[in-house]
Amino acid sequence: MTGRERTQAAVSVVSSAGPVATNPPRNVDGVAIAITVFSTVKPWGRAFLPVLFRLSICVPKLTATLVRLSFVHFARWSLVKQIPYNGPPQPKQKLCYAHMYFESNFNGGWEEYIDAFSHIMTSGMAAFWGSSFGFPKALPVGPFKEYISENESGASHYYSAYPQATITMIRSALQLDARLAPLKRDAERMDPEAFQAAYTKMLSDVQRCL
Amino acid sequence: MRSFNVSGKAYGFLAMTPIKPGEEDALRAYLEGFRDRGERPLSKVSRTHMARWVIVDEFCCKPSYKQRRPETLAISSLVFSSNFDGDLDSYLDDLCSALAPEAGEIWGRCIGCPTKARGAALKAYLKHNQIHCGFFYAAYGDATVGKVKACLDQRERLIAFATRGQGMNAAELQKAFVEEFARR
Repeated sequence: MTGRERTQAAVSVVSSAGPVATNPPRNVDGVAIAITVFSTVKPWGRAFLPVLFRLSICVPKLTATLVRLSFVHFARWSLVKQIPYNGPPQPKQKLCYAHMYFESNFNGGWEEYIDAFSHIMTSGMAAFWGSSFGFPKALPVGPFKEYISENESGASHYYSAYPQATITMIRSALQLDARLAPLKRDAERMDPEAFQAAYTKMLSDVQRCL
Repeated sequence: MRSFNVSGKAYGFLAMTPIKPGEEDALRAYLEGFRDRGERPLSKVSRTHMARWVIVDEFCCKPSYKQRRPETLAISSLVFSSNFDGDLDSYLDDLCSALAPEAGEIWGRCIGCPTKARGAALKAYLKHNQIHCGFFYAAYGDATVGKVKACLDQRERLIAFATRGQGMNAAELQKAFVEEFARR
């Protein structure tokens, strides 16, 4: 199955509240989707990418857009400079190029994910993939989707501890917990009318989390 | 500076192990079979947020990429990636114990894996093959798996409670709330 075929299948699987297909792709678990991409890095990227990674950690503003994307649970970039050696019969391979590993765990659809990345993180995409051979720029999105599809490796097994939860649900649930804590703590000590008023206010305050 | 593998309490682990020649299809069938058999082995490793096994046969290299020297993998590799909460050592202890029944069928098909694919030997093998992160992003890295699950459950219960509590008077509402939330 090509990346594009996986795309379409994934979209159909997560188009409603839960998994509906009888045989969803292996890179899907409930509403969570895995994407795994290796790209070959040009020689200058070998020095540039570690600097970019370090900057991304030290200057959170650079990755603020990623934080705002409300459908990425976890994402990761790694630079593979050598394949760990484990003895024969593994051939000793000295890589001519470094290879960038990218993975993302997201909810939504593959097409929508790449669309959002391309349109919202255009400069960020250029920074992370600009040193990869064949990177066609993030926009227009068609060639970029083709590129990701060509370089994507399908998961044989994918697991999410929260297969039915979108990241919005998880963030809401965590926010809700903080807002609910004072009432949980004080409820027994309050008189009923005061409790009812506090409960009503709390529900009003957290309605966006429900 | 913090480890590049860490974001909040979350750790991004990646290991790339070479598959024994001739074992690729059997390994793929075994991993893909988890779903067909209704098995979720990683649920036994309770600190796992999200994880995957991926078999990588080659690196893509097309003429249009204008790569001076085509390069691909000399041998197919198994990628295991996990996003979990807590530190690596204790997580791998958990993983190598909980996945002992499956590990032989998985990493046992990889070159260099200890004959008994479990415990300290498997842990050392996975650490030897670790590829460190360059940049790791976790949207809710400060929350453990247990915390996320508990909060999702609580959210569902509050949604149900909000409907159920609509016809209650103040005293009934308070009593029901305390039973549902405060005493758990």
